[in-house]
Formats: sequence, structure tokens, C-alpha cells
Amino acid sequence: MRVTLDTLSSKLQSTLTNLTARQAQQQTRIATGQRLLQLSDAPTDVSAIVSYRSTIARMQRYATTLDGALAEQTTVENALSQISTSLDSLRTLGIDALNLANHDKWSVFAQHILSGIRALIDAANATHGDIYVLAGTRNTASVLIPTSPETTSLPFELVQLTPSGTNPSGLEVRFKGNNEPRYIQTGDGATEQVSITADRIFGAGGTALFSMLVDLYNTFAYNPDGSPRTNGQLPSQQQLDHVAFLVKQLSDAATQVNYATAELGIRTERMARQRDQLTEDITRQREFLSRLQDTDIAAATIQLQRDQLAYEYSLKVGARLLNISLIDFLR
Amino acid sequence: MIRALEIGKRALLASQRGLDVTSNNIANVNTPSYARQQVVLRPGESIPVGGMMVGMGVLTSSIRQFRDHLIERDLRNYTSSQNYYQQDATILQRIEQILGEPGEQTLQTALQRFFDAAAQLSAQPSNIATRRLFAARASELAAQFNSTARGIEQLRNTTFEQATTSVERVNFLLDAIAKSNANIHATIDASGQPAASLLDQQAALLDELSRYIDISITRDATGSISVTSGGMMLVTSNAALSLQVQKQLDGTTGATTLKFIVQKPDGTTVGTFIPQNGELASLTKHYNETLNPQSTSGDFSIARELDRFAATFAERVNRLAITGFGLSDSGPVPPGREIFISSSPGPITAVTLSINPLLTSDPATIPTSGVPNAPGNNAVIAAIAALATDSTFLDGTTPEGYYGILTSRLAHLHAATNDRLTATKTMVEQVTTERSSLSGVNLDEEATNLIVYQRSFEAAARIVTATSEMLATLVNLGR
Repeated sequence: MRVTLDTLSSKLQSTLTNLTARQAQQQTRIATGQRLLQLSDAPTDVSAIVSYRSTIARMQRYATTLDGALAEQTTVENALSQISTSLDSLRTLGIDALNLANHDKWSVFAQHILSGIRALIDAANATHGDIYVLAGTRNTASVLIPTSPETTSLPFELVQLTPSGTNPSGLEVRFKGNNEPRYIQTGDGATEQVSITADRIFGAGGTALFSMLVDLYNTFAYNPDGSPRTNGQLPSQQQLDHVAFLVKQLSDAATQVNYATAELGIRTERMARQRDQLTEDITRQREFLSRLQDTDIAAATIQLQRDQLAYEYSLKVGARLLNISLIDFLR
Repeated sequence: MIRALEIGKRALLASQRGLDVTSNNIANVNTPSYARQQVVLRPGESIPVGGMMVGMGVLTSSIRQFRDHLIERDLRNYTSSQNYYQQDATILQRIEQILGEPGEQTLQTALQRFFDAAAQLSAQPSNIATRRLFAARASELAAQFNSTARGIEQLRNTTFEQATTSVERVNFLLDAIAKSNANIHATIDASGQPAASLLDQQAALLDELSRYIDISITRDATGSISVTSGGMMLVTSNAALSLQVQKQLDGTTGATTLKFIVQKPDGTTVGTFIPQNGELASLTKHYNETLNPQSTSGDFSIARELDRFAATFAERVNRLAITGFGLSDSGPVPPGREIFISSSPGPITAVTLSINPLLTSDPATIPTSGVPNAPGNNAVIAAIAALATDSTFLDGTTPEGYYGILTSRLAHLHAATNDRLTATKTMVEQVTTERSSLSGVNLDEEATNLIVYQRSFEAAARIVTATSEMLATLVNLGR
């Protein structure tokens, strides 16, 4: 085969161009840490990379949601703890009131019960951020619009109604929220209830417990004929029996709250475990993703050195080939 | 004696021709499309002398050019293919860049941020800050669709401009080839050979033309060539047709496609030209299919797929959103508020996708709840967030899965194009080497020829000197 100057120079140019391009590619890979400089570098991996990115983003989304939910669970736990403490105090008050030595002090007990109801309402109105945690899905002030005789935009409110035979004090606790549970997405197609509904803690309609406490207050504060009890006035046997019945109901309510607290604790633990699992999975998925899209620095460096060596020798050989011809020896 | 002088003169002239041709070869060692030349010598006719036939030295019969038309044809075919795939690779590379792949600011990132914000809003549906974030992320996603689609649109416009520029060059080349036909015909010498330099120039024109379109060439006895491409004879003898680029609007689909009209010099339309290979074929394919949002062919169209993606995404999100209530909606009927709208009259496309401005100005109106007056209800926004994992979104996959299919198809297409480009480049290199082997100038060879002709010239001069001395001897015989 005839080898011409053009053959030599074209081949040399082509070789040098290819080697320069490869060196530039390896240098960029090392500098950026990215194995894929363009999609066509590894078309079979593109789908997997997009999929890993998607999975990681989704897991992070669930982890973030769980973090927020765990913070809310802490608020609810604190509220339940306060409710539980208040209920214990009220139950103790009830038991103490049944003591013969305290029968003449029921008007004083009545005031303590009223304070207890107020403390319970405060705990029930616990907030997390801008939401009332025990108000179901009607949980912001914007929708808790008071209607007379209500005066606040709180979900639980003690209102004063016209006294009646059955309710001589006219006190009533109103619940403006609802008992709809709230859910969050914790995985693909998996949801977790994040709220505890008021009816779960306070009984039917979210107010049964309060009605019972108002009943207890009325029993302490009023005589059987509906007149206000003064200090020293003794309760009737019927009132004593009624208080004993209410104390029993208080115990049941406290047990309900304890169940709810336990349920919440289990849920919180489950969420924390899910979050931890997600954190581990994210690390694992990132590792897989890294294997596909990140540069193997050692391999890239060795390849770069090879290309540099090849480039150097191509230059040397090319320079020698192109420099000498018969013309150089003609004198 | 005079005969010997004539033989010497002929030898001197032959050596001079040889030296001229060798010098010309050396001078053109780096000239593209140059085919080396060689002096063809033949013995002079014999004449009877004293009953014997005596040769009359050497004559230059012609100057031969080393050119193989089969190799040239192959080279032009492969050059057309190389430029076709090169143009393909360039456009696909630009599409990758427009998509931002591989990188961090992609449509996928925008989708993830949208779903992140939806999930956050689902966890805190009454929180205004979270609502603002959701509106911002929805705007960003729409903007990402817009900028990607606009990038594709601009690339399509650039493709048209490039086709226009290329067609101008093609027309120039066709005209130049027709003129070269006339020049070649006018310079045919006594040996029936046209001027080699004109053939070289014509070859260079044909080489360049083959970058833009696929061509086939036929030669007639006079040395003229005819150039045919896409079933049209573009150059015949010294007449050339010209191409015009036109955008053709389909009244039914509203699709604009690129077509080439062939015209005579007087402007009469001869027909439609469809390039099969070369840069123009690639540009046409991408303008009419890959970058055409109204493409109806089964081939990959990034513009059409983006529009489909954007429209489906908006439709699926809106289908849920219109059943929802914002913070201030009292019901009982949902206000039917959409999240995504079209920024201009007509259906939602990737370019027109936009967020409902009401949602950005008043984030409380974002429909998140399934029932009125329940700010904590997240039924609607949770369903929107769950779209991220809805495998029935489009073509049996999730939104991000569909994006994965898009990028994967693009990657495979680009890789396959690169593979074909590499293969074609190798073929071009091989055929170029073949051509170079036959037609290229070898300096060693030419240096040898230089010595050969120098020595033969010296020898011929010696014949003349010797004959002259012999004549002088004869002249002096009588003194």
C-alpha cells in the first residue's frame, strides 16, 4: 500500500484528536466527580439513575413528613399527659369529697372542680404550630367561629347558658372542632393517622367527659332543690351516690386517656422506627446511585495517565514520521 | 546527426514535463481533493534509416491523474452519512443540554420539589407558609416545563435557519459544479484529457456537496458530470437547479414541516426534493419529527412528549383540585379551582403550562380539603401528593417514571447515533486512506522522480552536447 504524507498526517491528527478528547473527558470526570457527562455515556444506566433519584426523593419526602408528625405527636403526648394529670386530680377530689369529714366543704370542692375543668380545657386546646391538635380537621382559628354565647375561636370553650333544673349552673363545654382523623402519607400507598380525635379522649361528641364534670360541679355547688350550696350545707344521700357514680366514670375516663396515650406512644415509636428505616434506606439508595453516576477516581486517574502516555508517544512518533523524507537528503 | 539532436531535444522536453509534474505534485501535497499526476511517456515513432527502423526518442503522450471514481463515490456516500449522524448527534446533545441532563436542575428535580411541597402541605394543610411554598413549587415546575419547551422551540428555529444557510451553500455548489462542467469541456487537450486542476476543483465541490446531501454522479464522454440527489437531477451539463426551503403548514393538525422545493433558474418549480442523507436530511428529520410538537409519526419527538407530559400532569392534578376546597371555601359545592391553567388560549402544552394566578396571590385558595370548613382535611392535596407514585399516570408509569422513559429514550437514541457516527467516521477514514493511497502525494516517491528526471535531463543534455561535438567534428573535417 502506498503511504502518503496525507495518510500519515490524517491518521496522526485523528489519533491526537481522539486522545485529547479522551483526556478532556477523564479530566472533567475527575474534576466534577460525575461519571456521566452526557446521557449517551451510559444509556442503559439512565433509567436506573432516574429511578434511584426518584426513590431517594420520595423517601426523603416521607422522612420529612414523619419528622413533622413526630413533633406533633410530642405536643399531643404533652397534652394527654396534662389531661391525665387533671383527671387524676379531679378523681382524687371526688374521692375526697365522699369522705364524711368533707361533706360540709362541697362548695369549696365545687370551685376546685371548676378550676380542674378549666385546666382540662386548656390542655384540650393544645396547639402545634397554627393547629389545635385535638380539634380534628376543623383545627384552625379561621373556622372555629364563635356563635353566642361562645366568645373565643378555641375548639373547646366553657360557656355560660341559662341555668335550668338539670343544669343549675348553666355551664357547658362546647366543642367547635370535629372528630375527623387526620392522616399523613408515610410510604407508597401507606398512611398513618397523625391525630387523636376528641371523642377518643373525651367521649361521645368530644364533650361527654366535660358534661360529666359539669354534672359533678353542679352536684357539689348546688343543693338538690337547685339552690347554691353554702359552706357547711351537707349533701343528700342521692347526691353522695351520684358523686360516687361520677367518680367511677372519671376513673373510666382516665383509663381511656391512658389507653389513648399508650396508643399514641406505640404510634410514635412506629413512626420513629419508620423514619430511621427510611434514613438507612436513603443511605443505601444513595450508595447505589453513587455507583452509577459518580466517577471511580482511581480508575479515571489511571485511564487519564494512559491517555496522556499515548498522547505523548503519538506526538513523538508523529514528529519523527513527518519530519523525515527523501527530500531531506537531497543536496 | 540531426536526428540525434531531435532525439536529445525530445528527451530534454520529456524530462522537463516530468519535472513540472513532479513539482506540481510536491506543491499540492497538502491540497484537499488533489489527485497526484504522472507524465505518461511513449516511444517516438521509428523511421527507416539505411534499411533499418530507428526509434525517434521519447514523446509525452499525456498527463495521467490517479483518481478512482469508485473510491470517490464511496467516500462521498460515507461523508454524507457521517454528516447526517454528526448533525443528529449535535441536535441530540443540544436536547440533553436543554433538559439539563445529566445535572441537578432538571424537570425531574422540579417534579420532586412539587411533590415534596404537596407532601408538606398534606401534613400541614392549614399552614399559610406551606401553602405559599406549594404555590411557588408549582410555579417553578410550570416554569421548568416552559423553559424546556421554549429551548426545544428555539432549537427547532435554529434548525430551520441552519437548513436555510445550508441550502444557500448547496445552491452555490450546484452552480459551481455546472460552471466547472463548462470549463472542463472547454479545456480538453489534444490527448482528450481535461485540465487536471479543474477536475480537482470539481472533486472538491462534489466532496463538499456530499456533506449536505446524498449525491450520485454520472459522467458523459465529454467529461461533464450530472449530479442526482433525492430522485432529482440537480446538475446537467452546465445547467443547475436550485433548492428553496419552505415551511409547510398543515391546516388540519396545525403542524409546520420543512420541505425543499426544486426550482429552475427562471424560478419555475420542478418538484419537491427529499434529502435521504447528509446534513440536510438530518435537519429535516429533526425539524419535522424530533423537535415538532405536532409530529404524528411513530418516531421519537421530544417536543410532542413534553407537551403530552405537561398536559397529562396538569389534567391529573386539576382533576383532583377541582373537587377540593380552600381554607375560605364554605361549600357545599367545591369552587372547581384548577391549579394549572394555560397561559394562552388553547389547550395546556409544555410552553403554556402556568399556575392559576389566584393561588399565588391568595394561597388560602389552594384546594387541599375534601370537605368545606375543614382546614385540617388533606384529602385532595394528599391525593395530589400521591400522584408521585401513581403508576397509571402516563404510559403505565409514574410522572418521574415517564420522565425516566423520556431521558432513557433520548440517551439510547444519542448513544446509537454516536455509535453510528463512530462507525461512519472509521469508514470515512478507511476510504480516505484508500483514496490517499491512490491519489495522494508521497514525498519520497516525488523526490525519487525528481532525481530520475534530473538525471534523465542531464543525460539528454549530454546527448545534445555529444551530438554537437560530433557535428563540430564533421564541420571541421574539411579544414
